[in-house]
Amino acid sequence: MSLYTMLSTMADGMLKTCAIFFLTVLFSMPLGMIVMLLRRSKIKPVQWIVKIYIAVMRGTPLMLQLLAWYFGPYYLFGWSIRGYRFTAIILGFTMNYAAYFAEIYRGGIESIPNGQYEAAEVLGYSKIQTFFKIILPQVIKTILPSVTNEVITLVKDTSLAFALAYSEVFALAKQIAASQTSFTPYVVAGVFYFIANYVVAFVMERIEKAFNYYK
Amino acid sequence: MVLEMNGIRKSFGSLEVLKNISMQVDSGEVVSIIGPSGSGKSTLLRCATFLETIDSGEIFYTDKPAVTTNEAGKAVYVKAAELNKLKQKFGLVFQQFNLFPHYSVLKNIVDAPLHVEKRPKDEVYAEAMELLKKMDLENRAKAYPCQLSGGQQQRVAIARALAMKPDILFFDEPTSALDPELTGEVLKVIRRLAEEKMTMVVVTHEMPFARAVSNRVIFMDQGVIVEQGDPELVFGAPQQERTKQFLRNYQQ
Ligand SMILES: Nc1ncnc2c1ncn2[C@@H]1O[C@H](COP(=O)(O)OP(=O)(O)OP(=O)(O)O)[C@@H](O)[C@H]1O
Ligand SMILES: [Mg+2]
Repeated sequence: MSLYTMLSTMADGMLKTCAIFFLTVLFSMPLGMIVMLLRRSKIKPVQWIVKIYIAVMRGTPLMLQLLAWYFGPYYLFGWSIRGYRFTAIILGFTMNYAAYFAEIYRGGIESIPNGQYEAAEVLGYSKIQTFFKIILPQVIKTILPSVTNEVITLVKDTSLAFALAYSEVFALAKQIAASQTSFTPYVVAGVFYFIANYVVAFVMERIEKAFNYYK
Repeated sequence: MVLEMNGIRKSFGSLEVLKNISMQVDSGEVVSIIGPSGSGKSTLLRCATFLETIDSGEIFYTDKPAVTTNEAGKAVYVKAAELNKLKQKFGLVFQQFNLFPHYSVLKNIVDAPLHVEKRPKDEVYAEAMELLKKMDLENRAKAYPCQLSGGQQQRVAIARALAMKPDILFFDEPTSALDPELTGEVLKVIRRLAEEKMTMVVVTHEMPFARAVSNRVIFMDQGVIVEQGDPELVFGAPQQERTKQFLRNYQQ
C-alpha cells in the first residue's frame, strides 16, 4: 500500500474524528451550563441527582460509558436501533464532557467575589444585566485555561470511539497496521492528533490573549 | 430629610446585630459612624442600601417609604419596581472598591448611567470626564482597575457612585484596605465632597478625619447607638463610659 492510498483511506477517519470532536464541543459546552445551573439549584433532590450524575461521569472510564450508551438500549430494553452507533458515540462523549464542563463553570462562577454582585446591585443593574455584563465575562476569563485542557483531552479521547468499532482515525490506523504489518499508520495517526491539538492550542491561546487586557 | 431609619432590627440566626437603631440624615449633612469591630456598622449600611433585609423597622428616602412594619412587627418592603427607583437615591462605596475589573475606568463610571438609567450618551460621558477631573484621574480614563493604585481605585469607585447622582452617599471604611500613604488622597476627595454639601454617611476608623469633616458622629457598640452628636462633643467630652473607653483605646 502506498503512502498516498494509506493517507486517502485514513482521511475519511480523520473527518469522522473531527465530527466527533466538533459535535461533542457543540453539545457539551451548553449542556454543561445547564448541568451547572441544576447543580447550583436550591431544590435539594435536583442537586443530588446532578451530583450523582457528575460523580458517575467522572468516576468511570469513558470507554465503559461509550459501551453502555451503545449496548444499553439493547440489554436493558431489547431495542436494537439501526444506525445508532454514531449517535451513541456523540451521546457518550457529550454526557461525559458536559459533566466536566459543568464543574469548570461552577468553579469559575464561585471564584467571582460577592462584592461584584453587590456593587452591581447597588448601582441598580438587573439580575440578567449583572450576569451577562459583569459576571460572565469574568467567568470566561478565569475558566479559559481549564477549558483548553479539557478540549485538548477531548481531541485525544475521540480515539476511544474505536471501542464501538467506529472507523475514526485511530480504528483505521489499527486496521491498516494489522493488515499491512506496518507501523506507519500509527505514525500518521499520531501526527494527525498532534496537529489537531496544535490547532486547538493555538486557537485557545488567541482567545486567552483577547482576554488579557486586564488581570 | 434624605434618609430616615426607624427602629431597625436585624438578626443573623440567633445573633441580634442591630437592636432598634434609628438614624436620620438631613440634606447636606455628613455623618460619621464609629465603633468597635463587630458592632454592626457595616450591617447598618448594608440594610440602608438593601443588601441585607431588615427584620423590623422603617426606612424612608426623601420621605418615600422603602420599608415599613406591619402590625405583627415584621418589616414589609415596597414592590421591587418601587425599591429599584429608591435605589437611585443612594450610592455605596465599599472597603474593597469592587470595581468591575474587565471595564476601563471610564466604562466603570458610565456603564450604569447608560444601561441602568438609560441617560443620553454624550451627557453621561461629559459628566464622567468631569468627575474624573474632580478625582484627579482625568488621564487614567482608559486604564483598567488592575493598573491603578488602591487609592486611585477607590477614587474611581467614588466617581462611579457619584455618576448616578445619588442624594446620599454611603462609605464603608473607604480607606481601610489602603496603605497608610494612600488614605490621604481618598480622604481629601471625601472632604471636598463635604465642602460641596454632598450628603454622606461614613463608617470610618479615621478619628481625626471624622472629627474634622463630619457634622455629627455616631458611636455604635453591640448593635446600639451609644452616643451621638457634634464631633467636638463626642470626641472632646464623651458622656458614656463605653465611648470614653473606646476612644481611650483608640488613642493608644
Ligand atoms: N452575613 C452574616 N451572617 C452572619 N453573621 C454576620 C453576617 N454579617 C455580619 N455578621 C455578624 O454581625 C456582627 C456585626 O458585623 P458588622 O460587619 O456589621 O460589624 P462592623 O461594625 O462593620 O465591624 P468591622 O469594624 O469589623 O467592620 C458581627 O458579629 C458579624 O460576625
Ligand atoms: Mg464593617
